[in-house]
Amino acid sequence: MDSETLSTFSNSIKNGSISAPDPPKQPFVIGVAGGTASGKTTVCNMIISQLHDQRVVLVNQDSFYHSLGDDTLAEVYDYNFDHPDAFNTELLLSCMAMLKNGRAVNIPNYDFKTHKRIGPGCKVNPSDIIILEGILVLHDSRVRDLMNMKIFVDTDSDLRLARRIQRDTVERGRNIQNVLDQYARSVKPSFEEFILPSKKYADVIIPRGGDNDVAIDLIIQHIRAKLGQHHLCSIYPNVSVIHSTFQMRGMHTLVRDVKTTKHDFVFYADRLIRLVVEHGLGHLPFTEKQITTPTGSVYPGVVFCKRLCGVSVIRSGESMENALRACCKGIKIGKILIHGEGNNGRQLIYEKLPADISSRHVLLLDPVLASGNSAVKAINLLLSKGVVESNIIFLNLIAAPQGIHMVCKKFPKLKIVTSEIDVTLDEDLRVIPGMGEFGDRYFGTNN
Amino acid sequence: MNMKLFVDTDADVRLARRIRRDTVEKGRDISTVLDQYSKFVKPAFDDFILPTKKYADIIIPRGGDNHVAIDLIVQHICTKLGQHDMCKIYPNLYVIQSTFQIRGMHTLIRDSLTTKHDFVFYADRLIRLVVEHGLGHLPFTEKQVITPTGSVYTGVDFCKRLCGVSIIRSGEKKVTMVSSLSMKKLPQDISDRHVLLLDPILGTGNSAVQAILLLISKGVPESNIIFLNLISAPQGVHVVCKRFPRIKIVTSEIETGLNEDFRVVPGMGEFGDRYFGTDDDDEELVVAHTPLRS
Repeated sequence: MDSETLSTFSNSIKNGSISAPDPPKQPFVIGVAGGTASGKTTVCNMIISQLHDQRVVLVNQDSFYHSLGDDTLAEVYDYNFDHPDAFNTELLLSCMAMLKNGRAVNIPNYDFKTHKRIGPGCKVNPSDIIILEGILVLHDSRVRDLMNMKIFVDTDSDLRLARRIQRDTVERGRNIQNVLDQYARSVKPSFEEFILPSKKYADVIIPRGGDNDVAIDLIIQHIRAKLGQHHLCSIYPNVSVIHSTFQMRGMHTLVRDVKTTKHDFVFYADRLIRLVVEHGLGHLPFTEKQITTPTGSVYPGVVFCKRLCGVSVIRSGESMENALRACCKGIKIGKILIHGEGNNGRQLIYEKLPADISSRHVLLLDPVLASGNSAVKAINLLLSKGVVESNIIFLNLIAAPQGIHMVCKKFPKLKIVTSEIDVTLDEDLRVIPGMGEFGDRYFGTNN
Repeated sequence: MNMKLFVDTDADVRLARRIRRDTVEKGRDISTVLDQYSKFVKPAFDDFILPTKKYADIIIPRGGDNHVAIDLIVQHICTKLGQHDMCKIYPNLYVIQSTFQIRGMHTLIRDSLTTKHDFVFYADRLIRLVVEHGLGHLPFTEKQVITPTGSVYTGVDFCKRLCGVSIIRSGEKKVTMVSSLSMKKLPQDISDRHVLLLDPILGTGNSAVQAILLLISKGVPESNIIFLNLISAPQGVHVVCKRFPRIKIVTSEIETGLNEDFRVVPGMGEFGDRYFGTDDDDEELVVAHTPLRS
């Protein structure tokens, strides 16, 4: 623990709340790869300039070229700049790790004339969105694993060659023979051996590069949306936090306040739970249906998904059953009881689930998602009964980041709907700031 | 097209899926499937489908398993859909975000075949969502509380000075009455309260204008009025928003328009009649009222 963290830590002890350091805010990392002159840089520059937002930074793989020694420099025309070994990937990884942990880094300044790192480098601050651009950023699995979205800019090879000739002869003053030699000797073979195969890891392929306004607009809008979200929602598209209003914040203030009476706690928890349930139901599938209104007009509507059930995690989860019943008349509700302390002691004590649960959509009910240990246990039970992962919607009132990481990493197709994401967990795995023992407060069983 | 997508999945993966679908789901035999694939499906793909890939704006590899790309497209459509055109004209008009669940509830309450019981059930669910959304527009003050774990939670305190006012129509006489919720008349101190004005259908906007004028005449500041509807006709929205640019309208759907009888289209019929089941005699729903105009 460094001194800064230590002092924050001791401050929080002084304030009467002992808590572990908050998990660092995770940036959304976008990788942009593609062959030489495919338009990667143009795409990235257009994104950055249209966003005008300091929370977005660009890191270029070119900055991480190895400096060339004098021996290599003498034969620089034989050097393969398109080979993975030309890059200092270890340094790239350590820089990205620093940024991901919320620290500023110095990105090396690579000079293309001398083929050496020069100067002190360029300081890059940690940001909400990091764009990592370069021909081979999708090649190394360790670099890929840092990314939340992987883009490959795909432009025909003849176009790319034409652009490269233009750039190297006109802008960089090299002779055409030279450029073509290098292209045939190293650029093309490296593209085929390393760059093109990395295309299969891409999530999105953008044809034509910088001329593709529709694709660039799409990426820009996406980044804007990510900037407006809780950072966990941008990393996990399957986490949905209800749009917060002052009214919701006010209800949260009441259910979180230790001084709130049981009566008020139940009233406001119920109102919040109802909103979570309604929001969760909004994620169910539907079929189209046209009906006629009393004015004789046609209304193009939809019909609800009928195969639905609730499963509550005893005891707190039972507090959510009423809201679900109030929205879905006669809905079947199963129960799961999990008991135990700490990370490894969770035991399934009791389960009573609808016999045909495997063919249903399941709303899993638990007001507090803390470490995620019981949630994982409950979800594994549902999966073992044949429920399809993507048919599970997990409804919470509040969720800790640790629980979200645990559940989302393990079950990427399940949906989590919650009304607030809390700060962290304390060493007893209680949610901070949290709302205490939900079941005790809701059912009035403090003693 | 404004956006052209091409879903690009390897040929072998596509063939494997097709075989599974055609043999398991459609019960066809494997040799027929393969025969059809090599005779028609593959040549058509090579000749017609693959060449169209060059027109795509975005290529999505792997199809349905590609969550990142699907999230990208979904978010994009959401921002494009985000607003009803009228919300762009009137910043004080709020349409609650539609989900299939909300659309499904609307389908039920609009259907002329829906029973009274179901009508009330789904209308209540929708009204509750509109009310929650409307309450979200009230002001607040900051408030810090201590949670049972001993942590500080920086929250807000509700606005306490609040009242509801519902508009009641006496059907045949076309007279607008205004009555306060749970009180015999408008609260004495209404001028320093925030007012939630309740009317499930905003049609021409005539009754709404009268009700709002009454509230303003009682000293309620225009900006303290939040007008809650289940459905709203564009004509009514224009009338109310133009005349009272500082009130807020919260609704769950904007309609197509009004017909020649000034009924909302597609609409849901006479709301009061369907909700209270008083097709013949709607006098009894006027429980407590202050006549606005007789």
